[in-house]
Amino acid sequence: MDKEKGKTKRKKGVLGNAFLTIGPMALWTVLFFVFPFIYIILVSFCSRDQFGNIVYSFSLDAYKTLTKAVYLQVIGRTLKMAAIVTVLVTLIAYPYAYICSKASKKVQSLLIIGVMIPFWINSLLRIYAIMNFTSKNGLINNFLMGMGIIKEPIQILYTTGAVYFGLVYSLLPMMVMPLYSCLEKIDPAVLEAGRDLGCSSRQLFLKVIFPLSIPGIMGGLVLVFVPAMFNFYIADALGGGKTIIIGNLISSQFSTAKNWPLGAALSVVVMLISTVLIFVKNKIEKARTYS
Amino acid sequence: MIRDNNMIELIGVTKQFGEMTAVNHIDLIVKEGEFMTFLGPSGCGKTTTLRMIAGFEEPSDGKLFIDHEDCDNVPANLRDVNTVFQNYALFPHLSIRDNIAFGLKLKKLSKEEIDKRVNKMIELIKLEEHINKKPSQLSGGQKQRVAIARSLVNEPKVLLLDEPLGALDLKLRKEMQIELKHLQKELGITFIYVTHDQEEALTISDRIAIMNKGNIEQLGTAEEIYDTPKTKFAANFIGETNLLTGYIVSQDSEKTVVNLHNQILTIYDADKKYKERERICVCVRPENMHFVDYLPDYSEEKYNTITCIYEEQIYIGNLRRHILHTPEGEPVKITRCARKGEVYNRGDYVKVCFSKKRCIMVKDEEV
Ligand SMILES: Nc1ncnc2c1ncn2[C@@H]1O[C@H](COP(=O)(O)OP(=O)(O)OP(=O)(O)O)[C@@H](O)[C@H]1O
Ligand SMILES: [Mg+2]
Repeated sequence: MDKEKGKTKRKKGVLGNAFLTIGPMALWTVLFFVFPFIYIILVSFCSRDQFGNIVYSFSLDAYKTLTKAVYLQVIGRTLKMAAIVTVLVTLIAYPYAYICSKASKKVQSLLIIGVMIPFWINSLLRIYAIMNFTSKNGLINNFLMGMGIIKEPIQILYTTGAVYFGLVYSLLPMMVMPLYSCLEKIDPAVLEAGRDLGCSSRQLFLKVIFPLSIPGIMGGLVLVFVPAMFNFYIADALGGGKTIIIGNLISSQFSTAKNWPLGAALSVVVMLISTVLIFVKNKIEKARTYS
Repeated sequence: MIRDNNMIELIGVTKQFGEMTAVNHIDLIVKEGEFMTFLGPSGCGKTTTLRMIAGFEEPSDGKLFIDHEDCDNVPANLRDVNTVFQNYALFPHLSIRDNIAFGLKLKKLSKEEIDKRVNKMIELIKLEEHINKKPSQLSGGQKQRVAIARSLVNEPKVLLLDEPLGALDLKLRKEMQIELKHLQKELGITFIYVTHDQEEALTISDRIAIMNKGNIEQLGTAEEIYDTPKTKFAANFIGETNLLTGYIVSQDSEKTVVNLHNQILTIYDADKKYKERERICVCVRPENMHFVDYLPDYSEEKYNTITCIYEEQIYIGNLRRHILHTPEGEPVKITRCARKGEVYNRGDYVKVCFSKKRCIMVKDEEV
C-alpha cells in the first residue's frame, strides 16, 4: 500500500515539474500559433464590407472568389514554381551533401558551416545582398562588362529568374542538412557489401546509396516545398512585384487590398496543400520501413 | 599449363596503417575447396588479411593471387570472392529476399534462376517466414544467417567469413558450424574463416593458421597444431596445456635432456635443434599427465616424473580436472576420466608423470 502511494506521489511530482518546464512554452504556442491559426480559419469564412472591414457572419464568399480563373492561375503558378525550386534545390543539394558526407571530418564541418552561415543571416538582409549583386550597376553586371562579355548592363533583378535564384539560394540548406545527415549515417560496411557483391560505382549509387538517402530527400522536400510556396518577400523584392504567387497575393490581401477573408482563405488553401504533402510523405516513409 | 590447385596465394603480403604494421609479411597458400581458418587473438590482423583478399585494402607490399590471377588493381567488385562481414552489413532498405538476391540480380541471371537459388538458400538458413521483413526486424543471429546466405548464394570461388557465428548462442552456433562445413564440402567452395574461438577452429577447419601480431605462427591441420605446437603462443592458444620452463642440458639425435628446476627430464623430441642452456618450455597436454599412484604400468624409463602440490579438483561432466602447482609455482592441470576415484587433499605432495614421448618442447619466449 505504502509503496503504491509513494509511486503516485512521485508521478504527480514529475507531472508538476513537466508543467513547470513546458508550461510557458505551451502558453506561448497557444498564444502565438494556435490562436492566430484558429482566427485565420474563422476569418476565411467571413465576408467584408466595402471599406474592407470584416463582417463576422458565416459566408463562403472568400472561397467562391478563389475559384475564379485568376486565383486558380496564381495557385497553379505557385505550385509550379515551388515544384521547380524544389527540383533545382535537390539537384544542387544532392551532390553537395554527398561530397560533404564523403569528405574528411575537418572538411565536412567546413562545408556544412559554409552552407549554414548564409542561413543564420537574416533572410531579408540576404535578399538585399542579392539585389545589390544583381542590379543594373551591381557586381555581376560590372564584372561582365569589365570582362567585355557584355556591352550594356543586362536585366537580372526584377525577373522571374531572379526570384528562382533567390528561392533556390535561400532554401538550399533546408535540403542539404537532412540529406547530409542521412548520407553520413550510411554504414561504410554496407557500401563495401555492395562492392563485394559486384556493384560498379554507378550501380552502387543507384542500388544502395540513393535508396538509402530517400528519407533525407523526403525530409528536405517538405522543408523546401512549403516555404517556397509561402514565400512572398523574395518574389516582391527580387521579382519587383511582377511575379504574383500565393505568398505575395496573401500579403497584399492583408495589407493594400484590405481583403482579409480572401487572404485567410488563401492561407487555408496553402496550409491544406502542406498538410497533404506532409501526410503523403509520412505514408511513404512508413511504407518503406515496414513493408 | 597450371597444375597446382592453389586458390589463394599470398606472397610476402604486408599491410601497414601509418607506422603500425597490421599484417607482417605473410606467406600462405589456400587450396581449392579447402576450409582454412584464421585463428588468433583480437587485433592480430585477421580481418585486415581478409579485407586484402576481398579487395577492400591494398597490400602495402607483397603479391596476392586468386585462382592464379594477380590481384593488383583488380577492384573488389570484379573479384570472384564474397565476404560475410563481421557486423553483417545487410542492406537496410531491402527485404531479406532482396538482400539475398542482390548479387544474382547484378549478374543479370534469369528471374527463374534467381528465384530457384534464393529459395534454396532461404530454406537452408531456415528463414522462410521472414523473407519479406527488413533486416532491422531480425535478431542478431537471423541477420548473421542472412549475411551468410547473401554471399553463399553467388557460389563464388572463395568465400571469406569474418566471425560469422559470433552472435549466435552456443547451440545454434554448433549447429551452424556443422551446417557450414557440410555446405562447403557440398558446394566445393574455398572457405577462409576467421574466428578467435579455438574450439570452433578445431571442429570446422581443414587447416588452421594461427595468427599473432600480424604473423602466421603456425599453419597446419587441427591435429598437427594440437599435438605438435611449434611455438609457445600456438601451444597456449590451442587447447589447454601445461608449460614447464627449464633449460637444455644436452641434445642428441633422438632425445633431449632438460633441466626443470633441478629435476632432470628426458624427452624423445629432437626435431627442433636447441643450444645448450637455451631456455625452453616443456609442453604437456593435461590428458597426458598422470598420477604416479594410479598408473599401473608406471616405470622410470618410460615416464618423466615431477613432484607437485595438490590444490583442488573441478568436476566438468564426464571429466574431472585436477589443479596442482609445482614447488616453483607453475600451474599444472591434469584431466582424468570422472569415474576414476583419484582423491587427494589440498597441500598434498603428489608425484605426477608424463610419457617421455608424449611431450614436446617450444622456445621460451614472451607471448
Ligand atoms: N583502417 C585502419 N586504420 C588503422 N589501423 C587499423 C585499421 N584497420 C585495422 N587496424 C589495426 O590493425 C590491427 C589488426 O586489425 P584487424 O581488424 O585485422 O584485427 P582482427 O584480428 O580482425 O581482430 P578482431 O578479432 O578483434 O576482429 C589492429 O591493431 C587495428 O587497430
Ligand atoms: Mg576482425
